[in-house]
Amino acid sequence: MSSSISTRAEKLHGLMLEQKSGSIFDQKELQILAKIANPEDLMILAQELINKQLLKLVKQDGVLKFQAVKASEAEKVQKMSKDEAMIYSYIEASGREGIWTKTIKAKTNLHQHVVLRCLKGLENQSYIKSVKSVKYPTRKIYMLYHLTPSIEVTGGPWFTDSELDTEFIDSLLLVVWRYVASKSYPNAFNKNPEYNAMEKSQPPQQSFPHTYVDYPTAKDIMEFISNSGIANVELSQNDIRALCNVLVYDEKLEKLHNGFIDSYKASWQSILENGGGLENDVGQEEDSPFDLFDSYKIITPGYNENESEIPSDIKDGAIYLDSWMNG
Amino acid sequence: MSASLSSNKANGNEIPIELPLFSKTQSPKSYLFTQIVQSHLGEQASLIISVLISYGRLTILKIREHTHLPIFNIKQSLVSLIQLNLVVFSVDDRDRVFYTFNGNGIYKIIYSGEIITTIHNFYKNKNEKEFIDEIKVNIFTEIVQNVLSSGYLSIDDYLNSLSEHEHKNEEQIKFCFNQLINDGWLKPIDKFHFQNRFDLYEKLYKQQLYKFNKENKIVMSESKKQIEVKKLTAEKFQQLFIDESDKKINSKNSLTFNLNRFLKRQRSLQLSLLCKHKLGPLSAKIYSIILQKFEKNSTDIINEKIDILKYSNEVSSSSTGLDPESLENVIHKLKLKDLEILKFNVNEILREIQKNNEKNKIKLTKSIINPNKKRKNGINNQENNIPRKKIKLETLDSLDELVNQQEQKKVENSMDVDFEMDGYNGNQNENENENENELAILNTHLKILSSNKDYKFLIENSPGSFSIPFIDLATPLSQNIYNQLIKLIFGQDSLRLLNCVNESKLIDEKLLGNLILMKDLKIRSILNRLIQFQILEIQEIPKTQDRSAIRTVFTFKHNFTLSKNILKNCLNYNMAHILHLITDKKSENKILIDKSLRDDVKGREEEMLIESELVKLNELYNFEISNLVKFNRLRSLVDVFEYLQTP
Repeated sequence: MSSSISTRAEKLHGLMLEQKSGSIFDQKELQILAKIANPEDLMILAQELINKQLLKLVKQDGVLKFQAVKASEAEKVQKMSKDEAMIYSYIEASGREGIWTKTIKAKTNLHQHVVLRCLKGLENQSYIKSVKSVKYPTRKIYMLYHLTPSIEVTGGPWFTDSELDTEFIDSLLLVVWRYVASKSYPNAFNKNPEYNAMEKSQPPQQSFPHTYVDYPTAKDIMEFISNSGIANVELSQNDIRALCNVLVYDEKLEKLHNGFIDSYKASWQSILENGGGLENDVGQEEDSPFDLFDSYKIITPGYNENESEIPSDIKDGAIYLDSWMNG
Repeated sequence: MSASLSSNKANGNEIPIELPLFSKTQSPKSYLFTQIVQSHLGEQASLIISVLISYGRLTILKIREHTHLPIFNIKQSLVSLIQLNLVVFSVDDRDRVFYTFNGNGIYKIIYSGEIITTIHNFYKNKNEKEFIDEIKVNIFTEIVQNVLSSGYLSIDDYLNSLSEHEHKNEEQIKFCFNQLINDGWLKPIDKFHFQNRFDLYEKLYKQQLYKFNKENKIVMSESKKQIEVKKLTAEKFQQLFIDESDKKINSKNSLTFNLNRFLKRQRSLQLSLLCKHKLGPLSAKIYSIILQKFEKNSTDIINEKIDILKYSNEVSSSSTGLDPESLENVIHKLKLKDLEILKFNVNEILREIQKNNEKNKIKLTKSIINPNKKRKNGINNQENNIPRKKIKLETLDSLDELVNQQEQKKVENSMDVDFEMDGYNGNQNENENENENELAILNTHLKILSSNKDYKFLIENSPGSFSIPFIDLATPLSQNIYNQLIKLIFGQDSLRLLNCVNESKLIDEKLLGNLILMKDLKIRSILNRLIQFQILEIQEIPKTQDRSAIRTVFTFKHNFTLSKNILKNCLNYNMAHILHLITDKKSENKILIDKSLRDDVKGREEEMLIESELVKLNELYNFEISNLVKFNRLRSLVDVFEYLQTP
């Protein structure tokens, strides 16, 4: 620490730093801490510290408060130019949210060239870093070098390097669906040989009664995922809810309204499409009309994503929509 | 029956060889109907239909003016068209006869193949339950086939057309006619069968108006008077048909096929398919049995009451469009009527299930599993302090008492019965025990059918008493088929996006991305495709006064009715196009087909035709079969959007 400050000021600074990091003190608290009865004496010490960048003034609920700054930090700021220090202070104040260059310019009232030069200088010294915001991908946002961007900026667990990680989402969706499906119908995926041998005597469908309430909730799914250790990021209940909603939009899950919040059940169709369901089907009605829902047996799901995989009869227009519109 | 176009000139008039382009371009339905009529009744009849669709109601002279066909040919075609109920007529005050196209008639032709299969399967199933022999099943089919091909037929007409050998079955034929009438498949035609119902209604309205003006001398506003007269007209109009239906049917009465009855069957089949994919095959089978038992008595799909409402709205009205509230009122009344008529209890359904023979027997035991029943019985009851009823099955008496005295108790404890019966080893009257067990399981199945919130297959009026909400199920049914089509044509991601837009009502791209967890680029490409096919609509929300595009937010919404109608048009167009392809292919190979149909070649094709001709003929038949299959598949989809939905 600089030797040019008085011992009393140094002592006060030391006492303030001993408290919880980032603690803010009002005048009375400082008086008690430093055991100084006269506020004027305290103000002299505070002014001394402020001059040396060792104390920061913070306005909270209309009251002026004080926050101690580490000596290393103060030294860093002292080495900066006036403009750089001002810009640095705004970036520091923005915390984990970061601050947009345009906002810096508006707040500091500096010319753009000056702002850009200062930012470049600070970035070169590794005091600040530029982060990509998921919310505003075109904006250049800065924050202190050692800080981790907030969820608002990174986009949460679904984003890796500010890109939506669809592969991760798809695998999680599959895991969630599989977990819910296994709890939705008894023996829906029971394909062991022993069971198959018995199957002929079994009914073609086994269901839980209407009074059954143990369908998985978002909390259950979250616990299952965190216990299984599938995901390396921490997922909240809201994240799981978002995944379940996607599955509901996919018509693979149904949201239940049985008095439990966020209770889900897999749709029977999704189980059939994924090779579940019991084999000994009840005799189909002979005069049954063309069943669009059985098409999963002949069409690979998502076939239109890769045109080369489209079976020729579908390509030829088994079902075609545009003929009338273009005809 | 059909008027052929062998020569270009008849009676000095030019006969058009090809259908005019407007028959295809004026609407997909017109394209479909003209293609159907062309393949059944020939080009001239098709041309007349096309003109009638285009111009509405026309006299013979006007038809001649538009078609350039000779009057004789027009009259000849009109006879066939009226006979098959494709065209209806009306006579105005000046005794001019107007002809109008009748949409319902043409569906009997489109569905004819399906109708015959339905009748065959219906009586084949009955055969297994009620021991109707195979010969009778064939007679049922033949009768319906004849009625469909000639439009209408009396029992005497049918008997007179039989050969001497067939006359031996006269009693059986009469029985079959009787059965078909009782089952609602055939209905007697009334004297208004060939007439335009709207014109009839309008005529009646004018009469009532004249009568009202004459009888009521008090001053009354015009709109009030109209409401009064319309009310009287609707009553009078309904009375006309009630009077007709009250008449006793005899062998001289002409009978026609009841399209409504067939549509009800189709609706049941579609609903049981929906149930199969939502709840499972066993639930679907039970549901199908319920539907088959009650479908006949449900309200008509092409409903007269709704028709009257539409007529009443169109007749001498200055207001625009049909009042949705009055339509809703009528639908609500129909719903209530359905709920009243279609009431049933578990016992009835169990009896119906037990009628099935061994082959079709439904295994109910072990179809309901409650994994935590035993665990929960002990724990939960204490925890929640809910007094729970416990059935003791040591003696049969306790069970009998329970079944006979309190149906509600039995319902609540159905799972107790199921579980405890699984391990029940007593040898006292096992059959009855099994019956009670099945009753309890069946009740749980019915509860499952009624507890699904999105698809309420049944409504539980009171414990143990259910009814079928046919009208309420129509929208989820069509919505479901629509979604499935979107999934098949555009892919799973499109369905995800569409469902999200549907739930959010109005949503922008950014929020959409957050909700469906999809990359922006992908979302944009899906949105583009869906907008191109008018599945989604764009709503522009300008943020600046100059409506700058950069600052404007674009949101998306889905209008189901609109996009469903577009889809319906596409399907209709595709059906027509398939028929067009078949006709084209046939006319390309006309010489070969004519040759194969020659008397000396028929049956001896392998001898009389060269190898290349045989290959070509085979190709031709395969082409026709595969296209007809496509046609029928498309048709079954159109069913859902055309008829099986809330009007």
